[in-house]
Parts: sequence; C-alpha cells; structure tokens
Amino acid sequence: MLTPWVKCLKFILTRTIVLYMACSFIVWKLLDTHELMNNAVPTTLSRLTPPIDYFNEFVDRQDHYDHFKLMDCIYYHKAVAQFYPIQKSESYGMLGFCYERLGQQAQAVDSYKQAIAANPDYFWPYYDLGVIFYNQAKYAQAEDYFHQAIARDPVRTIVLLNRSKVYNDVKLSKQDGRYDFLAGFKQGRVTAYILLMDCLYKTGSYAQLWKAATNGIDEGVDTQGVFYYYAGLAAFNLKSFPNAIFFLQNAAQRDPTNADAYYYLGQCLRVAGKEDMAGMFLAKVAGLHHQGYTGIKKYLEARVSFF
Amino acid sequence: MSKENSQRLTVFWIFFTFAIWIFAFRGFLTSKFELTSDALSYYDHVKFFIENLGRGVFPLWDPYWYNGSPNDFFLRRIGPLNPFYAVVLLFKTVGIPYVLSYLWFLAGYYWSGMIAFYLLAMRIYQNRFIAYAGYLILLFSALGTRLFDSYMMFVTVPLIWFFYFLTAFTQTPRKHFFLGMTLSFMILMGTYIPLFFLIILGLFSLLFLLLYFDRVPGIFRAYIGFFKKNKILVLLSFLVLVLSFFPIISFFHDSTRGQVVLPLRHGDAAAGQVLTVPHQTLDWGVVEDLMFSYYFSDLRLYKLAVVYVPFFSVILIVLGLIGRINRRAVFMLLLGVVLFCCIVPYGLPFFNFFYKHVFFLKLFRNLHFFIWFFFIPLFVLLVLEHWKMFTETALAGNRRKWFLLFYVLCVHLIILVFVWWRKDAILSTYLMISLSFIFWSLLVLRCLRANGWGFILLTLTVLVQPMEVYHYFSLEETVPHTKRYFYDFSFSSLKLKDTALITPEDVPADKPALYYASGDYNFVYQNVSNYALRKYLLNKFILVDHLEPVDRGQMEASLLERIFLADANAAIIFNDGLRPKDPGDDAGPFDPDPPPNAQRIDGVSEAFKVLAFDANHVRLTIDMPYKKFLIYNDNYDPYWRVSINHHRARLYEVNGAFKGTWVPAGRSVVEFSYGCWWQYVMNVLPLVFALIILGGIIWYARLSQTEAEADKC
Repeated sequence: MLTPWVKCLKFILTRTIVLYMACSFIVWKLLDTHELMNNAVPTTLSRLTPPIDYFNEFVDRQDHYDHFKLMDCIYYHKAVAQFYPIQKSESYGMLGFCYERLGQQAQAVDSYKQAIAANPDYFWPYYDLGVIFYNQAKYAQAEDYFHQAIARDPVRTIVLLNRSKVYNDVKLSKQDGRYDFLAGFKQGRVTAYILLMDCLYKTGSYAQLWKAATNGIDEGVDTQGVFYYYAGLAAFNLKSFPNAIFFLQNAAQRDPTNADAYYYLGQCLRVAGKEDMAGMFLAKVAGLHHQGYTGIKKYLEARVSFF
Repeated sequence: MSKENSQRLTVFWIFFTFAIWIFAFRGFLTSKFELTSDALSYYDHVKFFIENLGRGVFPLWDPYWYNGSPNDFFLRRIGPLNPFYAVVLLFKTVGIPYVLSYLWFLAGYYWSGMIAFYLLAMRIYQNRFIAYAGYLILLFSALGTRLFDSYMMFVTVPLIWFFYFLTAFTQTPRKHFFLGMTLSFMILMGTYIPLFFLIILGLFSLLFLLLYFDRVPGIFRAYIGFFKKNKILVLLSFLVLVLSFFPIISFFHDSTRGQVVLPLRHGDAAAGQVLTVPHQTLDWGVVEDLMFSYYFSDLRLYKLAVVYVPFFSVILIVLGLIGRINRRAVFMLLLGVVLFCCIVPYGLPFFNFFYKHVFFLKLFRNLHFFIWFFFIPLFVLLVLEHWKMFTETALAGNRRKWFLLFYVLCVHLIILVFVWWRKDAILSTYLMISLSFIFWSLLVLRCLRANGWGFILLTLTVLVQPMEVYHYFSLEETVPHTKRYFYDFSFSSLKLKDTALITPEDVPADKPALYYASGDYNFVYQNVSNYALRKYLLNKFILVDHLEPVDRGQMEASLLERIFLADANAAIIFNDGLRPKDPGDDAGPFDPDPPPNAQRIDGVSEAFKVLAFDANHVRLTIDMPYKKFLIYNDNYDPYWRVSINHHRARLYEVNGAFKGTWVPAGRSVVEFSYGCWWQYVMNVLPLVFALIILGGIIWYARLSQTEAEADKC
C-alpha cells in the first residue's frame, strides 16, 4: 500500500516535464557554453549584419526609409549589445536612434538609458533623451539631460566615436563621402546648449538661463547670435533692461532675420517709454514674419542624432 | 459520425487548407516573386534535366555550366530518380510555361509530403483530429517557405514518405508499403546528400532497437513472413535498389579523380576527395540557425530561412508537460536530443569525434539542414504526442475535468503574459491564444468532437497566426520576378559565337571562386586573365594549323594568355596526347599558306554546319581544302569521344581545358559525343524502374483497397 506521499512523488516523477528537465540537465552538463557561444555568436551576427548602406538609408533619406532595413538594423544591434559588452553603449545608442525613427519613443528612451548605463561618458544618449523629452514638451526632464550632455568630457566621446566598430560601420555605410563625426559632435553640443537655454526659458529659470547663455558666449560657441538672444531674454525677464538691450542688439546684428530679438528689443524700449522706437521694431518683426522668417524657432527644431 | 463521413470531412479540410496555403504563397506560385538562392539553381538544373528527357536525352554533360561540366553533380543534387518530375513535363505538355509548371510541381510535391505526414500521424495516433492538426501545423510551418530559397523539400518530402511507408509496413506488411519504402529509399539515396538520411535512419534504428527491444522479434517475424510470401517482389526490389546505388557510387568514385573541382565548397580541406569540406565551413549549424531565427521573434519581419512553427504547437507542448511519460515520447525526445548533440560541432564533444573517425562526415556541411529535413517534422510529431498525452490525462477521470480546465486556463494565461511581456507579438498571436483557450476548454469539457465545428475551430486556431505571418512575409518579398534564371533558353541550339563585343574595361579583373567546374577549366580560369579567356571563348569552334605540345606538368598560363590574346593560329596540346605517328599526319595536306591568326567559326556556312546538337553530343559537317585542327571550346573530359566520318578519331585536350581533333581535307562529318553505354544504362534503368515501382504502388494500393471493401461486404 503506497502512502499518499509516495503516490504523489510517483505521480510527479512520471510526468513528461521531468523527462524534459532530465534531458536539459544532461545536455547542460555536457555543453561547453563558452565554446558554443564563441562560435555561434560571430557567425550569427555576420548573418544578421544589415546591408552596408543601411545607415545611409535612414539618415540621408530622413523619413523615407525602408521599414524592413531599419528592423534588420535593430536586430543586428540588439545582438551586438547582447554579446559584445564593449560595444554595448553604441549599440543601444543605435537602437534608440532606430526606435525613434520608427516612432517608438518609449523603446527609444529605454535604449538610450541602457546606453548611458553601459557608458556614462557617452554624449549622444543624453543629448537624444533631451531631444525626445524636449519634443514631448517635458522641459524639466529635457533640461536635466541637456545639462548632463554638456557636462560630458568631449575627449571621451571622441575616443569612443573613433574606436567603435558600430561607428566604423556607419562610416562605411556612406558611399559618397564620409560622415564627419567630429563636426557632428560639435554641432550636437551647440544644439544641446540652445535647447537647454530654451528649456530654462520655458521653465522660467531665468537666472540659470542667464548663466548658461553667458557661459556659452564665453566658450565662443555662438556663431549666429542665439546665445546673445537668450542672454538678452534672461536679462529682460530679470528686468535688467540695459543688459537685455545690449545682448538683443548683438543677437540681431549676428542674425538680422531673428525676429524674436527685434520683438524683445521693442519690448525693452516700450518699458523704457520709447513707444515710437518700439513701434518701429515691432513693425520690423511683422515684416520679417511676413517674409517667412520665424525667429528663434528654426534653431529649436531638433531630432535625435547618432553623431 | 460514420467513418466514411469523417474520412470525407478530413479530405475536404486537407484540400481546403492547401488552397489557403496556395493563397498565402500566391506571390511565389504565380511567379510574381522570384525564387532565390539554391532554389534558383535547382530550377535551372531541373529544367535542363526535364527538357532534355523530354527530347529523349539523358543529360550526362552540361555544356552551359562553366563552359561544360559533367552533369552528374547536378543530377545527384536534384535526385534524377524522382519519378514526380514527370509532373513538370506533363504541365509543360499541356502548354503551361515551365516556370509555372515547376512552381506548381513544387507546391504539389510539398503538399504530398504533408499528406504523407498526415498518414504517418494517422498510423501512429489512430486519431483523425490529431493527425489533421499535425498536417496543419507542418503545412504552415516554415518548411513551405524553403521551397522558394532551397532544395530541402527534395529530401524532406521523400523522407516523410519513407517513414510513413516504414511505419505502415511494420504495422501491416503490404506490397504497396514495401514498394513505397523502396521508392522513397531510392529517391533519397539518389541525391548527393543521402548521408543526412542515412544518419537519421541509423539513429532511428538504433534507438528503436534499444527502446522497443521487446517488439523487435515480432516485427522481424512479420517482415520475414512477408519476404517469404513475396520472394520475387522483394528480390527484384532489392536488385533495383542496388542498381540505383550505382550512379551515386560512380559519382563518389569519379569525384576522387580530380576531373571536376568544387573550389568554393572544398576550400582548403586537405583530403583529396573533392566533395570534402573543411571543418570551418561547418560554422553554420543547428544552433546558429536557431539563434538567427530567435532574432526574428517579431513575426512581422519574418523572412526566408527563419525557423517557424505555428505557435499553437508551443501551447500543446506546455499542455502535454503534465502528461504521463510514455515510451513513444521518450523515443521521439531522445531521437531529437541525441541527433542534436551529435551534430553540434562546437561546445559538445561528439561531432569532432565522429568527424575525425567517420569518413563520410567530412563530405557534407550545412548541418543546419537537419532542422529542415528532420527536426521540424519530428517536433510536430512530438507536439502531437503531447496532445495525445494531455487528452489521455484529461479523459482519465471525470473528477479531473475541473482541475484540467484550471490548468488550461493557467497555461494560456502564462503564455499570454509571456507574449505580452515580449512586446513584439503580432495581433494574431493573441487571437490564437484566445481561440486555443476556447478549443482546449471545450475539449476538456468534452463539448468538442471531430465534426465540422471541431475542424473549423481547430483550423482557425492553427492558421490565424501563420496567415498573418505570411502576409507580412509577402509584403517584404516585394522583388518582382526579373528573370534571374540562368537557364531560360532553349537547350536544342548551339550558339556558335557570343556576339557581345568586349573590351578589357568591360571585363572585371576579380576572380571569384567557382562553385563547380571541370578541374582543368578551373586551372585556366584561375591563371589566365578574364579578358583573355572571354576573348578566346567568344567562338565555340576555332580552326588552327599548328599544335604546340607541352608537358602536362609544365603548362604555363602565360603561354595560354599569349595565344588567347594574339588569336594565334596554334593550339597547345599535352604531350601525353601524342604518339610517335599522330593521326593528324594522315589527314591530308597542310595549308601551304596558313593565315597568321586562328580561323574562328562565326556562323553556319556551306563549309560549316551543325547537323545535330544536344547536351551529350554535337554533329557537324566541315568542308575544307586542307586538313585543319578543329577546337571545340567546350571543356575536355575523358568520357568525351570523337568520330570523323563515323570512324573513331583521337580527341586531344587543347589549350589547357578544351577539346579538339584533326579534321581531314574535304567534306567530313565530325561527331563529338559524351558518355559510355554503361553510364546511360546505370542512369536510365533505375529511372525506368522508379516509374514502374510508382505504378506498382498505385496498383497494389488500389488492389488492397478493393480487397478491404470486398471483406467489408
């Protein structure tokens, strides 16, 4: 007579799941996973490698990319990220880029966060997260990421861009000419600054805005008067009108089509009681708008970028 | 429901679901999308084979493949003993274009394999519903997609038929089952990759002996009883089987002579056997194929060569985990696991041991083929076994009904959560899980039977996901048919001159390794510039006045290059082709004023006519005032013969790789022909026997049916 425990044990041991577990255990004990993966991973990756012109396809064509090529790229970089820790950050950076192009923002954010976790010195994921949140009007989060992006040591990012296989593949994908990673990086930093200033303006952090704008001017990154504009805007909101007029005038000199600079100059003059001169500036603003100039807006149209 | 009605219902659903399969792959089956990869090459070589057979020629030589090569290799690839190629010929005869004939034949052939699988499952499970589910899962698995990029179905289909006939014959020894086994064995052994099949069969037999040792004596007694009763049939079948081995033995034997080479495949393999592959080419195995497929878990991106089985099978596997272990499940699982362990070249010790000690393992690569030949059908059988085990548990007692319903719910919920967590599931996966839950709940509650409604629900549950997958697959396959087929021309005319004008700039300098070619042609191709070779080969026939003998081992490519570029009135022959008194000496007077350049035959004229041409031979008339040496720019092979005015003449190997002969002054009939009588006998006879056996199967099957009906009356 079998006891209930023995019966129960007999029942369990005669189930198919036990057979599978036993087989799996034996194979697992026999298997040299390291050797298996050392061979399987590179060969699988080489088959997953997207066509050489893959990056060209969805950077240069912007939104007219081939969905399937983009997905091929995602699968390949997922595998690279999974199996090659040394290239994890760039692979996740690429994944974030691809997901953003596909319109899958949540996946993109997740990938960029993984990229940062893998390499906190890498500039682009911070920048891209900032851009994503900025475009979603989440200015506080965007501001945080832009701050972090600007704080990265440029040398480390440049070293990464030069040694990474993922970046090298991107370089090769450009058949006519080369992507200039260094110029891209410089432009990325300037854009990060500009968007940071805009976030600060939109969150009403005028003192910080003043600091960021004047820092940018001191660094010499301003070429089109955007930093002068934001310095003027900060001064205007901090009610330091002489400073505001000085910086806004400089902004307008550097970019005579900057209608917003004229607008705030007009506002400064109005505060000073010079209505007729203010009216002149406001008329100029209307004229520029009529001609199609949008002011500062053109500097604020940013998309995520890989370099 | 009566047995006849149930049978009729199943037949209806088998036809209906095949129509759905055709709909899913309509892009390919209407030739809107092109075949790719190996499927292209098979299309060409089957066309070459079929069309030549249609003209009464068994093509032993392929004049179009790298300037002419023995066709044995391609015959072995397509398996010439397959009598079902006659279907292509039949379609063509009624006026259907070859491309459609071939594609429809492929679809039909694949379907026949699925029917064999259904019959096999019926034999094993004696349950129409289970067998139908297996048929559906396999029909809509990724196996079908391989029709369009590989040749695997030429092995998988006869392999399924073989195991069906083997099972059927073991259960009820009948003549048609025996003949079916013989035919499918012949077809499988007729290909150049019979070793896959032999390994599977060997392992199957070994495990069967170990696990079913108590049944083996009974099975042997039944076999012997059949053999005693049908001595002549068995003996004849055995003889045919032996005869059908000769072409493959001859092929393996010839491949050791070095007359043909496979540089791309052979790589740097040390062994002299040309079919040997180096160990490093085994990199793409079962694990890599599965790992690659894993990255396509988002089925919207499904593509060719990605392993896929309708996800319903996974639910079945999980459901069956609580089933009681039985011998058949152990047998199937062990068959899969042991084979898997033996064919993984890295990480497990077995393959390297076998590779070192078992000679034939050096002869094939592409170990991942096992997935498509065997693992997928075996997996589906295992899935059916799980169904059986689960339903046996379900039916074991009324008390368990509610527990099982709860289990079904849990399994579906877990799978649902898993799928949702993966975030890449297509909509139909959720729909399938819902339908599956309804299906299994009804089955557990015994509210579902194998009637019309049961079939509808099962079909919907299995098909909903693959239909969406293949919809996306068709969207991705947007490459229209652009006639990339190499052999889309008539095989009955010989092109005397390539009219394309060439300049050195037109011809690329790089030399990709040839896949398969005559050994000497490969030497010339590798050592002479592409431009010089293309220029030389513009004409099929060239007449020269002088021969320059060289030692075979001393042949210099620079000499060939000079002759080819200068269009010299001379040809190089090997010293071993000369005798003290050469037949050319008796062929009449030499041209007293020979031209500086070779005389190229640009077209048909009064002096030069092609009287007949086919794959294995060409007959010409040549009328010249002086004797000349005729070069036929088709590769040389020891099995080529030449006759002048119906008398055998000496055939020389000319300019490193080609062939030529002295033609006397005056009007002569020159005939080049390939192959010996025994080669034709060896190839044609098994083909005839294969057709006879097919007839025998149909005849005995009908006879058996009539007898069964008579018994019932």
